[in-house]
Amino acid sequence: MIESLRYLLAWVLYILMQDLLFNNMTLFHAATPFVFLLFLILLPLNLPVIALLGIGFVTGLAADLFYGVANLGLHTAACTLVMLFRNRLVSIISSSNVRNINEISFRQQNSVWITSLLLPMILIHHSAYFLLDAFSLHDFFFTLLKILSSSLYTFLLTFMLFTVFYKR
Amino acid sequence: MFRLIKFLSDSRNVIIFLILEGIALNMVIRKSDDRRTRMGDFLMDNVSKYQEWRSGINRYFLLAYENERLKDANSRLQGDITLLSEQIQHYEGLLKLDSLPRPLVDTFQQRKFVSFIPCQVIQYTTHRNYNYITINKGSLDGIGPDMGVISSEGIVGRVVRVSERYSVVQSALNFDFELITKIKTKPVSSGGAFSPDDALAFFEWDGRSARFATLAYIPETVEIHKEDTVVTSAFSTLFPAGFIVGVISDTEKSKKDGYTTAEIKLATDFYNLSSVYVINTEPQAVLDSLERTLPHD
Repeated sequence: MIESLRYLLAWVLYILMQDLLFNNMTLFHAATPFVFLLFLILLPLNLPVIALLGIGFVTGLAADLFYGVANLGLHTAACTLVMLFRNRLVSIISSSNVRNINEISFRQQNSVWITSLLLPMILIHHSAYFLLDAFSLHDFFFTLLKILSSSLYTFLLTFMLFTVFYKR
Repeated sequence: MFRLIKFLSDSRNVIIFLILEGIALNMVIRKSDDRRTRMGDFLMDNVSKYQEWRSGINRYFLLAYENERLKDANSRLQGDITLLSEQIQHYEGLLKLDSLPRPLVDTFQQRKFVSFIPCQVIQYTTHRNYNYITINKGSLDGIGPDMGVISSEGIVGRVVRVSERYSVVQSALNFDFELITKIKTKPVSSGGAFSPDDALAFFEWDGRSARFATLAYIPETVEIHKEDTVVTSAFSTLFPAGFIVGVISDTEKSKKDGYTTAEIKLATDFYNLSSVYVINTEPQAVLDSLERTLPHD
């Protein structure tokens, strides 16, 4: 109960921070950090995929709404997509002697493990987001530049946040 | 039957995923659809309320900057007014001589119908390919779809969706925004008349920067120079002719099929939008409704 309240509070904080701070931190008209992804990536590992998909959908919709109602759906689609891969990715990168991914704790992992979780998740989300925004392959290399630079930006910020607030 | 149930329960996650993704993609594709639903209006009103509260905080810190910009705009307008009132006096003198044909006088008087509704920007983006702006006035203040929006520096966009108290504006930084503009082939001081060989050009945004846009389909025969002013043309139903769009910053981005593409520096600072004006052109509204009654083929 207290655990879920903590997650709810974190959710509100992440979404507000995204709107008030990170959305205004676009660099060179290409790189925008979407730090609220860290919340989705660090959701409890014992949640079933259906719950993850639902939370991803709602979180993406909330992030979208802050841009106004005219252009909804970009974050919603990208976040739902990224949550489909979360549990699978965790089991792939974990060592083979872990039988159940419920036993894994994010706090005890080293930076290599966290990097190999964060980077693919961020890349999937950002690729979906910017390709849907472009909605065509016209000017593809600029879209690619946006994807890569934003991914790097988001990765650096989320990695810093993780080391400061989540690591033991 | 049992197999079907087993298949469904095995691929339950994928099915749920496909449904949610379908809903999301449907929202992406519909974009600024102005089909109004009760749910859409409810969302728009409440989200805009939050945005208005938030922009109130931001505005507080930008007041000094905004004040400077408005002072600049004011001094520019004072100059224009002086020039125009001199012209009016000149024409009134001509009128007394009764040398000006009556229809021309009537056209001058019709211009009075243009009115400007001052609005506050409460939310905007610049990094997307389809950028939108939310402003704090709606249909109760006389705003309707397809009205032009300007700032004190230049054009901003086009109203696409209106609720009672808020409106959504399609920014000029939007792949769907299109406008026919006019290049003044030499720098003209404000209030000057157009020279006859002003060229028309097609304004579009390429998504590369919030400070620059491109002008396409300029005939090669037209000589354009850096610092040439680009203004709205009479062919646009959004803006009255003569509003500034930007200045040409690169004259030869590409040359193809007898047309030149140029780059322009936008007059409006889209990174710091605050006060904007919605243009309500009454005669234009009448014209639009007339156009709508015409059969389309």
